[in-house]
Amino acid sequence: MVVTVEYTAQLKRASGAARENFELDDSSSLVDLVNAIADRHGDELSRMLKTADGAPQTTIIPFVGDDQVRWNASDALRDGVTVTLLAPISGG
Amino acid sequence: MPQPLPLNDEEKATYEWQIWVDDFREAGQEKLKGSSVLVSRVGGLGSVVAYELAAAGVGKLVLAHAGNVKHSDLNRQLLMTHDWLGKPRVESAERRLKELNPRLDIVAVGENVSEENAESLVSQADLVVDCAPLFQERFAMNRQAVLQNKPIIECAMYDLEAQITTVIPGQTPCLACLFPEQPPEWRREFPVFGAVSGTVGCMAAMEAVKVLGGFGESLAGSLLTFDLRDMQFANRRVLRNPDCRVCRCS
Repeated sequence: MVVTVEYTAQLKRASGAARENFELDDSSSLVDLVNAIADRHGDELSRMLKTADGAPQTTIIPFVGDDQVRWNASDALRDGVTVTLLAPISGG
Repeated sequence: MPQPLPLNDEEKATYEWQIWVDDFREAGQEKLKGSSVLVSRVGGLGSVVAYELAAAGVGKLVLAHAGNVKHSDLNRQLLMTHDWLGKPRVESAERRLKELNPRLDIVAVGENVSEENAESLVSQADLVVDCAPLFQERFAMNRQAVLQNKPIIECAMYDLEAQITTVIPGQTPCLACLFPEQPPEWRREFPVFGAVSGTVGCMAAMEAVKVLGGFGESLAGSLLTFDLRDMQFANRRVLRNPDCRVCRCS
């Protein structure tokens, strides 16, 4: 399947792209997607998306379409969906 | 929620154009007059929130912001002025707001929100608008707003992007549902234009006016995100966290 990833804020800056496509196995999960993103972009983005033990950062909020999904959702991905990774930001 | 207060003739004249709004009317204006709002801090976001709430006729603002005005504040902190450089931000904010609305009751606190003062600051307001840059301040405000059952508008910006949601304790996700811990990569200083903080600040003020005035449809349970670089807006559904350390028991 092909999944489009949209980045926000610091994630957009670190990836150098607002959105990009990833080709994944049909059984892939959100965690697999994060690993694919980290593999493509390297350390800076990987640190933003994953903890030291490789789990997704709980402060990044994943959305499929306009709906928030849990990181451990088993069936969140399907061909053609857009996954938005929302980075934590604040006022100032 | 606030007790409505009757308007005098000067107030009816001042707020005439918004009293014409069909589902707001004079009854809504009386609710605003009887309302109090905590704004923390009064920087790029909070300046605009406080200014719009002062203009709209909210009766009392509690402002919390430490420190003195710096050059780097002046691209976005619209209540700060060049002639106030080196002097307390919260005094500049109070002065500017009083120029706009001399009837406004202002409690100006020269401190940022912390675990130590959050309970007292939140207790002085009917609603909170979180405009703070640090997650420890935001978490302290969120926890007290949930404990005291007060709505809190959460708003944030970065670069040309912004996020805003309205938390109704016990009904919607709170800040700690969305961000369960301190984001490790978040930095206190970040790129932003004043027009971006001003845009989301106006939205936050309108959310506060709607919630206090009891009209319209708020962002309760929704997170509005936008990017002014390409003018893309999205209204996203967010989830309560059943394991939230703050609101799971409320």
